[in-house]
Amino acid sequence: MSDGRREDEAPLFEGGELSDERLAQALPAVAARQAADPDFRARLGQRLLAAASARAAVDAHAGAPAPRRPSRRPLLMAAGAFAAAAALVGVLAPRRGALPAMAPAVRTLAADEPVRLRAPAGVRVGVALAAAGRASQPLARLELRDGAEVSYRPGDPAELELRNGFVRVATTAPLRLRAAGQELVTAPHSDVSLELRLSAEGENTMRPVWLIPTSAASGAALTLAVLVLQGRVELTRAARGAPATPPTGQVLVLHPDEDGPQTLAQAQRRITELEQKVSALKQESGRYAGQLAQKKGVTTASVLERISALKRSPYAAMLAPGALADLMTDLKGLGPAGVEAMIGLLKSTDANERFLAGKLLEDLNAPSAIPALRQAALNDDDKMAATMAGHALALMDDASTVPALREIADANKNWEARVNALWGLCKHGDQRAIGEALAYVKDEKQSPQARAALGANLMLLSDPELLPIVDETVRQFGDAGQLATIAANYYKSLGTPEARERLEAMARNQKLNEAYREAARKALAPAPR
Amino acid sequence: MATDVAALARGERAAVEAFYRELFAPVYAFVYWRVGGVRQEAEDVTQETFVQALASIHRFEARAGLHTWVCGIARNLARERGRSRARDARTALDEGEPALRPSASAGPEVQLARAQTERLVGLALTELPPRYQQALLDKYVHQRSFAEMAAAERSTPKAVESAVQRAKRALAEGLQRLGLGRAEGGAHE
Repeated sequence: MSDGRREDEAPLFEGGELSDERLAQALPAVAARQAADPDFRARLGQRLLAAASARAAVDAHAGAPAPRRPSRRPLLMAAGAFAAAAALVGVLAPRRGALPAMAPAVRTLAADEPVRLRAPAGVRVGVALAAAGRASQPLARLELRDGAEVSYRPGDPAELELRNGFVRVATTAPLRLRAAGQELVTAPHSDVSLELRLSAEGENTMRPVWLIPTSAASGAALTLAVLVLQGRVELTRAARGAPATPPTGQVLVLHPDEDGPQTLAQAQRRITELEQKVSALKQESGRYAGQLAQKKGVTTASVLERISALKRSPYAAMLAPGALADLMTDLKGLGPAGVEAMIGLLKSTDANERFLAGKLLEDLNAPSAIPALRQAALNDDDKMAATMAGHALALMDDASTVPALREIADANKNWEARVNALWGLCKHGDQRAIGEALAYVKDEKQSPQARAALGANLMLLSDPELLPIVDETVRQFGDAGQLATIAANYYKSLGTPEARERLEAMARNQKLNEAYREAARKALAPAPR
Repeated sequence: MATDVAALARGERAAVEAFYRELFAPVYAFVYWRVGGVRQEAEDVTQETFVQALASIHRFEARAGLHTWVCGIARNLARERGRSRARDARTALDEGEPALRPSASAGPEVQLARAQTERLVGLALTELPPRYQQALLDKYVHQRSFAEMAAAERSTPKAVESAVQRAKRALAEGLQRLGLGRAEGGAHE
């Protein structure tokens, strides 16, 4: 068995070529899975056309030709496109005979317990709330979109509070809906959508807007939109001038009153300010490190002297992180001069010094060191110094390391260098490296230690594109308990249906080591509410 | 390709329609396999891809085809989405829709293997130029004869057969890059 094929499946390749028979089996399944929902296709087409028309109208109004635009313009246009799309959907929805489909409920929650729910970014997800033993007749079905947050509290009637984003609610019993101090009560068998948007999110956000036109949100601290698709909803507490009963099929836009809602918006603004301060503080800390280095009289020469002392036992120095951490602080304080000093040290005649320079450059994470590290990784005749230089490149968070890592992987000087380079390339999403890493993990001519090391370290990247490599590592090294835990954590971190299937299969598979099954069971355990 | 990029940049309706008609299916398929086969994610990323592509069409420099350029945007968005999903995976609501189709005749292990093979084929297929993808789908999914395909493309059966062979070889190479069919000299997957 290999490549995701079990014994009872014929191979895709026969005699080195793709089998016509297997292609005729596999491609229809692939085509069926990758076929889009025709409704989605039509909807998106309408949205794009509406956005294009709006944009053409703006261009015509401004009398401007279509050439290159200022850098911020595309984002603004994108926001406008979504707003135009939302307005279009709002107009079209009531004309359609049937209501738009809700996202299917992936979970039924107890209606007699309070719960707070949040949809992950970019995901539309459905849940049902039902009394014990009445899962087939839920009190309400909810659809949350793209980061939306709601709190549910049982009661008579039960209460659902929208904290942010978009939620659609279909009820079978009365339900009190709250958002930003506004309050609505739904009659049984109502279907209503709410969207709450905070101005602190900014106008340029790419987050889709579902109901609120951009012009309606402009300048408001908070904007709430209500769209009743079916049934009767009463506004029991609302901004001045709002109708008692929102009309069915029309988006009602509310700007909540000055008290509670503004406090929320102010809190959001405060968070944004604090984030800016944190960023500024990080820059400050770099400056203070420089000042501290000056006060301590740290110079390039004194750092090199300390390295010279450490070089007698460089591996011991790595195991005693205190000494290196102190050195690193001083190096950072020296700024570019510290990086330059380490680049120079990569050419030392002493291999231990070159090794330490590689290690320190790894921690400095300085792109200016890439050419020197590449040179050392490819040409240093000391294996440890060369491997450390390659390791530093692999760990660097800079895509300009990719060409150097490719050269190191292709040079294939030893397994450590190749594994490190492939890891770094996969981290940057290099498609060729992902294929090579998969082949490497499968290749029984390579040492098991190297294959397991590559597979296990790739799991730490939590990248869904690496799923086939992780699967293969699990298959090949199924009796290593620590690796099992890392694999289970990887699958859990993906959170996709495919990954969940892997965990369930692992938990059930009696042929697997108990360590794997236990790790899978733990990963599958529901998160505490 | 037929799309008039200058007209697209001006937001002309006909150009947007042509662009969308030509690229929607291959871009959606491309995205679908790169977001783990989650339909809702694929829809969101496809939408973002087209919005971003149209908003930045003035930056398209025709060094590669429009399909390649749009798929580049899609690849980046799918990757960002994957990372953001990984960060958010601890929430209780991340199941999405099932990627595996229930089957009475196959156990979970077989279903998993089949789903993985389909995923790899999907990834490799959607890396191909659209005309190669179409040739393979016409032959192996719609089971059209070379004569029928030739008539539709105003070509000859011989030329179509040759295109299908080239597409098949390109798919095989793509699958090999993903690790299929390589380990044992091509004798097995």
